[in-house]
Amino acid sequence: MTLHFLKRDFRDFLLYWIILLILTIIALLAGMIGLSMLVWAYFMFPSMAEGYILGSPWRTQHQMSRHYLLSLPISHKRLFVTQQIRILVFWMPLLILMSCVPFTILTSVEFGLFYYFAVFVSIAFWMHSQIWSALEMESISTYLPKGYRIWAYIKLFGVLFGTMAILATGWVNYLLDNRVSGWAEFSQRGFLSLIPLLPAEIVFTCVFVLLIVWVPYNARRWCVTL
Amino acid sequence: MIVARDLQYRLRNKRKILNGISFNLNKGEFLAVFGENGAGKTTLLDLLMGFRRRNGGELQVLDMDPGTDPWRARARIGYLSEKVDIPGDWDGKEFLSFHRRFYDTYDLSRETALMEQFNVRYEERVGNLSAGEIRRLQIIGALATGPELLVADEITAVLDIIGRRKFLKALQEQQKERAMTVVLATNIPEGLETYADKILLISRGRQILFSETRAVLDDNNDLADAVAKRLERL
Repeated sequence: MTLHFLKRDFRDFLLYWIILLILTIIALLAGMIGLSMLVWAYFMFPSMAEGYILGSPWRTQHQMSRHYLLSLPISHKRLFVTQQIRILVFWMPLLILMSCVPFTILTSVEFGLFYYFAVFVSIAFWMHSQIWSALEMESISTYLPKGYRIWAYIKLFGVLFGTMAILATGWVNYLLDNRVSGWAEFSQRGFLSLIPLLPAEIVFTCVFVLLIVWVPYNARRWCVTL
Repeated sequence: MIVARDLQYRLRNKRKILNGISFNLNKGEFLAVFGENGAGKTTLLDLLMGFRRRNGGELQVLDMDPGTDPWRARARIGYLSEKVDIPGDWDGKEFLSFHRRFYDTYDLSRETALMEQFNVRYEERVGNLSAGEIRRLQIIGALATGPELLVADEITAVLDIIGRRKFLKALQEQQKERAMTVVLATNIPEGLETYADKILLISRGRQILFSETRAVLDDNNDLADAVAKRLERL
C-alpha cells in the first residue's frame, strides 16, 4: 500500500524532481557556491510536498484531504507510518548529500558515526515540527475561538524557531568541534561563544528523547480530525 | 448495524458538541440526520467513522467500536463528505484507479454504470469540475466499493436537483439490491420522506427526536415541514 502512495507521489511531483535534477547538475558544475545553494534547495524541497501529503484542509481543497485518507481501510498507525515514509522520500536528496560530507571534512571516525545519528535525528525532528505545525495551523483555522488564536500563533512560531535554534546550536557546535574538522580557530564571538556550553552530543541526544515523545503525539493528533 | 447509547463528545476547550445521543439502525435502513447549522451532525458522523474519540457513551458500528480503529471494517463503509478532497490535477480516471486499489470488493462494472448514470467523464480534470461534479465522482467511488454502510455528510448540499435525485435513487437501488444501510446528514429534508426509514433530529448537540419517519410526518406528508416545526418549537 505504501508503494501505491509512493508511485502516485512520484507521478504528481515528477516535474519538481526534474527541476531538482537540473538544479543539481548546474550546482555541481558551479563548484562550492553551487553546492551551498544545492543544500538550501534540497532543504526546501520537502516543504513543497509536506502540505500535500499531510492533507491539511487549510492549504487548498484540491489535494487529498486527511478526511479521505482516514476513511480508507488502512490501520491509522500504518497510515501515519506511510505518511512519514512519503515525506522522507522528499528528504532523500538532502540525506544523500549530507551522507557524503564526512568523507570531505571529518577527521575522526568515531565522530563520523555520530554525524549520521545527528543527520537522522535532525531530519526527523524538523519533519515532525512540520507535521505539528500543519496540525496546529489546521486547528487555528477551523475551530479555535478568537481569544485563543493569538496564543496558538505564538506557540506555533515559538516551536518553529525553537526547533531551528536547537538544530542550529547542535550543528554549529558539532562543526566547530576540533575533533571533527579543526574549525575551532573559527572566531567565537557573541552567540557563538555560548555554543560550547551545549555539546552536540547532548543536543542531539535530547532531540532524540524529545522525538520519542513527539512522534506518538503527532500520530495521535493526525489520526483524528481536530 | 449501528448502536449508539448516550454519546458524549466535547472539544479540548471543554465545549460540549454532543450530549446524550442514542439511536439504533438495522441492516438496510436509511437514517436521515437533521439539525440546525452547528448542531453536531458532522461530529456525530466523525464519531461513526472513528475520526474522533467520544468522551462517553457506547457506540458500535458494524459490531465494532469505531474508537478502536477497526480498519478492516472501513472497507465495508462508504464515506462521503464535503471534507473529502481530491487533488485538482488528477482526472476522474486517476482518482478512481487510485481509490479502487484499497477495496477488494470494488466492482468495475458498477463504476462504469455509475459514471454513465451520474454523467461524469473519466478524462475531466478534478480542478476543472464544479463542487457538485466532484461530489458525483466521489459518490461513484464510494458506491462502486459495494459498501454495507454508507455514511454521507452534507453531500447533497452542492448537488443540483438532478444530481440529488440520481444520488438518492442510486442509494435506494443499492438498498434494495444489497440491503445497504445509509446514514445521511443533511440540511435539506425536502423529498427525503420516501427514502428515510428513521429520523434523528439534533439541536445544539442534544437529541430532540429519534423516530420512524412515518411517525414524524404530519397530514401533508411533508418531512421538511415536520422537521422545521420541531426546530421552531425549541
